[in-house]
Amino acid sequence: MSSRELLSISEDEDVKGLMKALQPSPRDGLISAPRPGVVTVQGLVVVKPTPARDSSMKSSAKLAVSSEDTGAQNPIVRVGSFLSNLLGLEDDARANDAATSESLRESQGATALQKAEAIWRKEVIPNWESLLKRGKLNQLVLKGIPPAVRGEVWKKMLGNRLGLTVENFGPIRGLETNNVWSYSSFFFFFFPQILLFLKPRVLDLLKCIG
Amino acid sequence: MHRLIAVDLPRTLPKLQLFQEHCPLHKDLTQVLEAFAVSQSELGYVQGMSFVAAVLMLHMSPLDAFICMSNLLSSHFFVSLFTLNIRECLKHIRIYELLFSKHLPNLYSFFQRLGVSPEHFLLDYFFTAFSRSLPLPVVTRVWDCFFLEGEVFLYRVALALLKLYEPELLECNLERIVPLLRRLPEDVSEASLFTALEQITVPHYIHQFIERIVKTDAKE
Repeated sequence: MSSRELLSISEDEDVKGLMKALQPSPRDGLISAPRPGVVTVQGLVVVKPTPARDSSMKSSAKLAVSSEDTGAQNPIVRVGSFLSNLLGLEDDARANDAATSESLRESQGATALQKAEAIWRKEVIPNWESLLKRGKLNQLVLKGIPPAVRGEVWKKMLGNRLGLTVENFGPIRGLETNNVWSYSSFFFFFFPQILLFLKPRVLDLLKCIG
Repeated sequence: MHRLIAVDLPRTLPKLQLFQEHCPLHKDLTQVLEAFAVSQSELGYVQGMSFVAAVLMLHMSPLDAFICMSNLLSSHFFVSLFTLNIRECLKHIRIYELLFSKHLPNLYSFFQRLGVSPEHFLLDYFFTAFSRSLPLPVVTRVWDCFFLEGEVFLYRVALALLKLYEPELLECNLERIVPLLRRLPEDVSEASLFTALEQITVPHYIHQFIERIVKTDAKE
């Protein structure tokens, strides 16, 4: 079963409606008929055993399913309303919901980490000042800053009170001026476990919503 | 100064093999530290700074790391630490002690009985903002909050660590406590640390007190 098929199949009514809203229309020919036995929750794919399998396996799998379900119930709707609440766009909440689902649809199938990054890039960083004023940032930052935007956010937080410039730094060797890049990619090479930490964090982020 | 930096670099995050001699970031880190020592001449270079610079450099270009480091270390908190101005340092240590006695009264009285004073291990944490004491993934998350909330967050992390190891610490004697706190186990878990952190709250008057310290410092 391909991952696209997995993503398109759902059993739970709630999730079904949600997925329907997110998926390209069936006319695209990308979606196969709903198949029992698989539940998708926003990128987390859980395969329920078919009744033919033995019962012990079934119960353990069910446990897993239920815990995943509660963890990320209706995540997209929640992200939308969370962000609109956060950004104080109550009047515009609906439009914002749509916009957020749009941006999330683009990143569907992406990892939790990439989704968090998208949220930060599109919603948090551009609205930094107003979020800071309203004290909404502490809660977000406590969940962890997605590594890809971390350097940028750190710079924003620390600011430049001293007004330092290149001149204070001294001569920059040619190499760096042409090739300034963050070493965060290195960082993940050495610390793959950080991805594990971030996954529950995105779910937490979703839980804050509503 | 140049020699001091050269001595410190091999000790900076040795596991990464990025900052040691002949490693990719060795020259950049040296330049960041030297530029810092020149432009912030009242601080100069103090051992421990290499850790701060190194962690910043993992996330940004050398120039940005230099700017961020200079601004970070220009706060009253770090300046009093790095210039070893005992009178000013004590202000911060008193805040920590106050919070300690409030949140962990058992451990606090235990430490008092044994004569363990916070200076024994706290300076180690604060000098590098935990970057020497905690595993790197944890440090980055601590810094996320630290940069936003300020020094209060460092007190909270220190207390959360004490809280995590409270059962072990209560069974230790003086000889073992300080080494244990200085050299924390390498498997400090991010999740458990942040759970412990939730319970460490800082009352409003502490925030006000810190603001006052910063303000009087700015006037002077």
